[in-house]
Amino acid sequence: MIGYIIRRLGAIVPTLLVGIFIAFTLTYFGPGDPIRVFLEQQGRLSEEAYEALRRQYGLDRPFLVQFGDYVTGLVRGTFGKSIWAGGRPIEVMIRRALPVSVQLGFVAFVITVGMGVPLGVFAALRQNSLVDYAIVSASVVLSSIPTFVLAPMLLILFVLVIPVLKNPIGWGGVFDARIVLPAFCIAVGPLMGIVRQARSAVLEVIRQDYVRTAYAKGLPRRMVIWRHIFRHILTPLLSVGVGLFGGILQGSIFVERVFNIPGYGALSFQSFVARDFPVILATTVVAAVIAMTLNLVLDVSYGLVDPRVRLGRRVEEV
Amino acid sequence: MYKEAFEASQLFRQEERSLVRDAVRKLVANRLAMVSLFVIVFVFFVGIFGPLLAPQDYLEQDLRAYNQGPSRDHLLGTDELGRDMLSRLLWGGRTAIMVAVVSTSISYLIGILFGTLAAYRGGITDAVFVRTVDLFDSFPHILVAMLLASTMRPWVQRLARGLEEMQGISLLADNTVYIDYLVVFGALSMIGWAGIGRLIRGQVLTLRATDFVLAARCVGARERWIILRHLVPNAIGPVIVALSSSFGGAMMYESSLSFIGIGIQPPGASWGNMIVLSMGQWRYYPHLVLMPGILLMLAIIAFNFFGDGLNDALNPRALAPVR
Repeated sequence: MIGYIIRRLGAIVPTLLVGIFIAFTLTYFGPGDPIRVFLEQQGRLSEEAYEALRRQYGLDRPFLVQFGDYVTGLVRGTFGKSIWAGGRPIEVMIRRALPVSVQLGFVAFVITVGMGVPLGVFAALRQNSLVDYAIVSASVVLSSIPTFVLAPMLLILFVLVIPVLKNPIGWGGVFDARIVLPAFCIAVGPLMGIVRQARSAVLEVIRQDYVRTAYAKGLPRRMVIWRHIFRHILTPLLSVGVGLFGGILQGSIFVERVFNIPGYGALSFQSFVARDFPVILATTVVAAVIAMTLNLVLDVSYGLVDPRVRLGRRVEEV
Repeated sequence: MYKEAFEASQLFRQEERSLVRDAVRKLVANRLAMVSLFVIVFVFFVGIFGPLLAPQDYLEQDLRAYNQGPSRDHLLGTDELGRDMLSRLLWGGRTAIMVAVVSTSISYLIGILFGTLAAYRGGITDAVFVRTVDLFDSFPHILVAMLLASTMRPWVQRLARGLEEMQGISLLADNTVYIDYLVVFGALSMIGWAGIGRLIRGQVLTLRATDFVLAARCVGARERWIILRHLVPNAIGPVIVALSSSFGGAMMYESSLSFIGIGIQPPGASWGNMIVLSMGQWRYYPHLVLMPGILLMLAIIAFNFFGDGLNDALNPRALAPVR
């Protein structure tokens, strides 16, 4: 198991480095000269100011040296400085924004799993019935609505049409009522994937011999579902994990903008609007690091849940 | 006697069946998929003919008549700058369809080509391909698209300016929308190809070991012939099935990028940037947010439902979705 984790870590580092290199190159050569743009916007473009700022941001040195510095900085936990926010260190901005999004994302995660798994199991137990049909269709509909369409629609519904909410915009922590709408909007995006995965996993398990045996020996239906079926859909469900993170991230970028929540998604959104390329780069890299770490954790937990994986066989073969 | 025999055989006659015919019948019986098909045809119609039907210039501003409700002059009212909503919605439909078709085509072409080549050649080609796809998949797709769209724009702009100076071809005339199109096509193709490539690679890996490919090799068929004549046609089924939901996904990403302001930019029309433009005043003019939003939502839902229907019709054994 430990060897496996080390091997996986060994694979992550080069992938991450190549990814960072590509992202760095894109943001380095793509946008043109950020200092010139910044000074032009400020209306104080002069050769001296230009040279001074270039030196201050370390942009006057060779490309590869800058990349090396950037990676060294990453290892030390510094991401450079924001151009748009007047040279504030990016790691400070991220450290302030990330906890907000983690809380919001966690609530969304609980909602989406808490809704998706039981619905998927329920649909599968009544395969091809009207209930099944309705659950799967509803999850397709909900997941097909882009977050930035659903969010204003819910706002209009609950503020203008049925005036139950007065001011649903802003951030007040997990236990604030204002979290309900944004968390729901985020949760709905990855719902379809979870419902489908849970449903097909149950359909797979329900046809196994040991389930028939369990029924045959007279176990009540509830016991069969809890003891035998539920436990075996855990492994296939884990494979939704990374997609789930992507979905929550994607949702939070738009939801935090619409609901004015000072989180990671809003920071990322703002950096794209302001063309603040150091922040764009940093938010992308951090998201990738989180995604890869989650991926690793999930793969390891495959091993914990399913002993066959631990023995070195790959998940697809099992 | 022949006649009697013929009549007797008619008793046991079975209707002709084929995969395609069965699939079509199943699809037609699927009411949801048929309704979706209707919506899809409508969206394509709007995408192709919409701009011709637009009652007014979608760029023309009338600052005395902003944020108006429906009237005889403006059937669906006007937006914050007094532009005709109906005309903008129709042009936004053109954008959505164009982006969906072009970027999906590009990413499918790249994915099919690389996926087949990698699986057929094996060895280092395959290793490089798999690594690249893994690299793409380990970054959240929306961020990759956002990163590409925002960093590619200045390149494309410089390119367009260069073209204009050298050849006198002007892409920047009254509207930068062509640049926006190029940027969005590029960004969406780059995130779409990896999944398709992975899908087709799996298909080709099993086909590669079959006898008919061996036979083709034995009679001296060239690699290009084998790939184009034998491997791609046989592997392409599941890829075609994925096409419908890929269209929906491309529309979703396009409007997302436009919502952020790095896709189709004003004054160009996209349902995504129409939503963000009116978002600031949703309390006072909710219809301006709802109209593009509902259109976008319906289109994406239809593409997803139709994709499901296709999948069920063509993979009868698959357990996954219903009907």
